[in-house]
Amino acid sequence: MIEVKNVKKSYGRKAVLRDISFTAKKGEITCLIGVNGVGKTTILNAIMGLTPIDGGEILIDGKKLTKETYEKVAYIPDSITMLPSMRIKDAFAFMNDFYTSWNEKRANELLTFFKLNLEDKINSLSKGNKMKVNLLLGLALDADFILMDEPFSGIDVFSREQITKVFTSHLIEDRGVIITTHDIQEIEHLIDQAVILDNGIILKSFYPEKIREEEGKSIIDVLREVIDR
Amino acid sequence: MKNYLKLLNFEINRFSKLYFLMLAIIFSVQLISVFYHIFSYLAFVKMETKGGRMTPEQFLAEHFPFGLSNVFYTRGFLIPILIGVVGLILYVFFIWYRDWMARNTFIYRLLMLPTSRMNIFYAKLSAIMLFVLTTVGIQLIFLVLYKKIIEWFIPVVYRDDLSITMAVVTSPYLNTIVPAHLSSFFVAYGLGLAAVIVVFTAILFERSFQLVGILYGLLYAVFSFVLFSLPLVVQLLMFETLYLYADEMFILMTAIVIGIIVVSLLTSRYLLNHKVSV
Repeated sequence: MIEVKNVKKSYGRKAVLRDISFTAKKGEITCLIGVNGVGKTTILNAIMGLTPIDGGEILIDGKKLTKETYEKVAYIPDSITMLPSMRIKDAFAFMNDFYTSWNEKRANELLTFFKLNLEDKINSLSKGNKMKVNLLLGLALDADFILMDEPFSGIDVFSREQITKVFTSHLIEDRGVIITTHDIQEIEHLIDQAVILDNGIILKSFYPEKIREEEGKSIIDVLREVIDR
Repeated sequence: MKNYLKLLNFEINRFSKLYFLMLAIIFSVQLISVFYHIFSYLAFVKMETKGGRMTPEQFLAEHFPFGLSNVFYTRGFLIPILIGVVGLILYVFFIWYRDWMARNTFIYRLLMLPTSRMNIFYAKLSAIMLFVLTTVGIQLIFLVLYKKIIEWFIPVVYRDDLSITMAVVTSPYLNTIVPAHLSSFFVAYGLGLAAVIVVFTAILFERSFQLVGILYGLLYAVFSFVLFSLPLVVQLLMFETLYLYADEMFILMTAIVIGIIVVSLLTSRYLLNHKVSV
């Protein structure tokens, strides 16, 4: 379980996160929804210890972040985190060198799934394929949690479909996922928990299925309601 | 330790192409310069001694014989060394900033490695020191080659067969990068190491606090330099001369440098673990 408790973060005088608290559980897909600049990426960066927070606490399975956490939590940022000059096989070798949780079998499975080639050079790939490599590198870790930052941002419809398929495949099952997006249509049906953010605060956190069953509302309906309020 | 070595190997591979290009430029320019000066000297000898106008003895009474020292003070020899020094100084900054500034945000990957973040610091530091020492080592090998080339082309009568050691010791530039004594080597490269560590810490201040971090970084570097110079400055101000014996000064300054290194490493560890941001 990832617990984000009363997290605050400012850049200079601008408060990006005012008092953010939510919990992401294993086996669930938690989606942070909000327009650009509301602090979604900052939350993911903070969970991974890539951006220091000014207040609050983040716990992963009840413990603060340590170097071992990086074996347990995989982060897939919105841009590729390998060197442009690397081939995919070099990126595999790099991951294999440093992560004991690197699962070569799953990596090769994903390679076939995304129709990528080990010899492909990263800087020669399209934006969609770069995102797929990024996803692959994260998903191939035997991690309990996966954090994805805007995985659908700026990529073509076919790549989107392919990436969406990952969420319903065995590649995700049992793992906890935190995904950020400003465009939820693509994955609305996959989300277990939705967290709507605006202006550095959580406007509403809810389980869409429950709302759907009890009130007959979609995530977008709820989103409209809380934003218009 | 294993992760540190893997990171070091990775850093070396990343810079190796540029590094070898730099080495190729440095030593090809030096080599061309050596040949140019050898042939200029031979042409001059030929002109002066043409038609028996001058015997070799008379020539040497008026002009210097040709040896390694003649090469050391030429622009073609010193400018490539300067290029190497500047290149490696720039690399001290480049080694960090390329991970943040390049098209791909590799710093995410580095900071998310399941290893101590100080391993990244030590790997970058070791890579720089290895490149510096390798450059100096290759320079020494090339000095042997230059000496051989001189022996092949300059007739023995016009040659100054000064040993490489003597030639280096008498050159103030080369004597700095290739100290004659082991103790001088440790002092020169120990100070260099400390300076790189201080600069790394200053860079991490900037990476942690952005604009105001530049100020913190600069203040930290200035503070370290002032602290290092303090024993010297205080003595000169108070006594207008060096009050302490050379040995005492050496011990005092060594202690200060070790102190600066330890504080810088602890500060860097804190910044990398708690303050640095992608």
